[in-house]
Amino acid sequence: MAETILEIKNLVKKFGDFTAVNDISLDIKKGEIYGILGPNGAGKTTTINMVLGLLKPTGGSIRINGIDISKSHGNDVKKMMGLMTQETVVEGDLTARDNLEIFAELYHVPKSEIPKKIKEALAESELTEFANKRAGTFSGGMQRRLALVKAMIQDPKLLILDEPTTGLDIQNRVNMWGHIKDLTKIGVTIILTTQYLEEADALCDRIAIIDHGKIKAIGTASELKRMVGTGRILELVLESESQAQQAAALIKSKFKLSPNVRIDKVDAVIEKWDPKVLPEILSELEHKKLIVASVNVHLPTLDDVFIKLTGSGMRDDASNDFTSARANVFMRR
Amino acid sequence: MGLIDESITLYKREMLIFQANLRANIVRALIFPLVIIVFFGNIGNAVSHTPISVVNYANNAQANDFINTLQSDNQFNIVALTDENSALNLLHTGAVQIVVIILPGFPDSSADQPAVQVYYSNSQPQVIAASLPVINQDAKEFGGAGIASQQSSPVPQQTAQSEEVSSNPLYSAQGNYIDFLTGGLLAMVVIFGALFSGGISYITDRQSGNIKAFLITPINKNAIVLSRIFSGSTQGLISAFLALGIGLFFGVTIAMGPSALIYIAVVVILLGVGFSGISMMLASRIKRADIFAIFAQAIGLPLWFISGGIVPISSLPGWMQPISNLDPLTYASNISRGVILQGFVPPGELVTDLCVLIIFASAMMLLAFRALKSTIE
Repeated sequence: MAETILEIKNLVKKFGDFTAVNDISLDIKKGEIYGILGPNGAGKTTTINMVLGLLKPTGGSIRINGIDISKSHGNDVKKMMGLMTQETVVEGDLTARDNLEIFAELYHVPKSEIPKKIKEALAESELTEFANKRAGTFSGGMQRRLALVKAMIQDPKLLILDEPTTGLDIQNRVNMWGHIKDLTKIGVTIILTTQYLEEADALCDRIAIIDHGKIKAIGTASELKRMVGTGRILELVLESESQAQQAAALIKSKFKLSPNVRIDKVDAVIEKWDPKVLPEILSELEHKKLIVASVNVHLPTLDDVFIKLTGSGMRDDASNDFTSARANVFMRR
Repeated sequence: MGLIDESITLYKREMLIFQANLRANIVRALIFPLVIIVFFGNIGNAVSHTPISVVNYANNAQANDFINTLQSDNQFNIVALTDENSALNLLHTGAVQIVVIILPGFPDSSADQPAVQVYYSNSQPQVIAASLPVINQDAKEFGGAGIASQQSSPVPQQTAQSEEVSSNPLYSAQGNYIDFLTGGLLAMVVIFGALFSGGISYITDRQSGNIKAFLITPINKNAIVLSRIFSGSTQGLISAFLALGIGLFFGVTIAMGPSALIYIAVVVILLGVGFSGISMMLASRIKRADIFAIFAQAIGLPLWFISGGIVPISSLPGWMQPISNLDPLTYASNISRGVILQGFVPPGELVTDLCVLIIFASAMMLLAFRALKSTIE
């Protein structure tokens, strides 16, 4: 078994009466990509801020590479960690080179090594020819690549990627995934938060799903999917909300399934998949004059796991601005 | 690596950002002094048809010619040619701004017996500043040998004795209003340059997450504050020299000569450090740049006016004058005006001014460290 790089035990963080993180324990091994998923306000950012030493835990302990950070959050611990967030991409007014140089200096990279480190970072991010151009003129994908090598400039053992691909188009996102995977080859451990479940599915060795400050499940993507079942997921969209209700009742009574209704949409897990089931369901619905607008049958995805565990879709909560409210709490302190 | 090295790295970053927006920053630094110097600085010079009254005791040909010369000059409008009491009454009621008295001996003058005497009110200092040299010049034209033989000005400047008329001399012996204005303006551009650089950049960096990125690096947190105090002072210094450049372009003379720049630089840096500290204190409590700007204006403008930025402190309302002693700008302006207008600062005053500024700068810097220590955990 690989060594543990980050060990979180019974971590609690309260802001007044509000418990943002409620007894979280995680054990992250060297070299793995560990996904932390949860709706906005679930406690991901608060947990990460505690790991980074920006917030003091109310209870519990965090050990990074065996060092208890409540006892010593010294420079050694800080140098072990890198952070890339969606907000701090890069500084647009500075050139790619200056962006890297300033962080190299702030991380106390020895002066003599800085030019070499910058050269490597530029090559890695495919930005060598843009070294002296202002980062503000770069495309979104170029800025993220620069942000990634900037977060790596001090050779951290643990890299925290907080929504590293939010806002990128699919080509750039897949390109970033390649760069992130390459990092694990040199032994970097990565903690990834994302709102793209397919991203977690594609990248993460293990995933923890957090909601309301608690861990709902931990496992590999396939372990988590198996929690939903080994069958198929049926999704029906009906003409109206009332029809959806009737359809759900019908499916429940006739086919012994346990459907969820969300407005005009009915989801159900079919544990034992038999291709004949689908035509049977459809003809039954037609018989009751329920008009089906669309049908979809698929293998369980992390979305299904997510819905099952948190009761809501990841993006449904996008308007729910808990994360920034949390950030303000941090500011006010 | 220590606090200083880390501060220098962050200072370098601030200045690179300043440089990246150099054109906008220079224009911003130029606009304010340009408007103030061009508009206010020339207000007196553009004055025409100033109402005056003349009292003619000499009543000779030269005196009549002198009156005609004054009248022919667009600068003046002779409202009344009358006796001294009536003329002074006109001055007190505000109907005229200057009373020119042609003394019996005109055009002959001597050290103790001038040819022309002038009464004026201080209600519009710029007008007086522009007018007196013209009267002086006109009088000289008629002075002939009598005036040429003496060094003193043929027009002793007196102020009328009255409650509503100030008896204080205006700016200084040689100075004119534009010199006076520029001397005070330097302090102004520094404090605005400093107030609006450090704090605003801190607020935008906090919004963009850069402060978080700095806090997770192994640096001393005070470097984040110190670097902004350095950069605010640098930007204040740049603003001050740009303002001085504009002043020189529009005819300001520096009585002390080039060595004045050293005095000005020292004053500017001390003010810059102090007001960058205030800027950081504001930024520690204020989350939005637009709200920050309101506070910065509310602090900067009154301090400038109270320090005698536009009119001499002696012309301020009485209750305001003691307050000016609490305004660091007063001490800064005293030095910058001293070197520009008089060519020197009395050593006693210089020591006092510098001590006040050093104490102010250190106190604000320490308070800024404290204010941000409590907000960044």
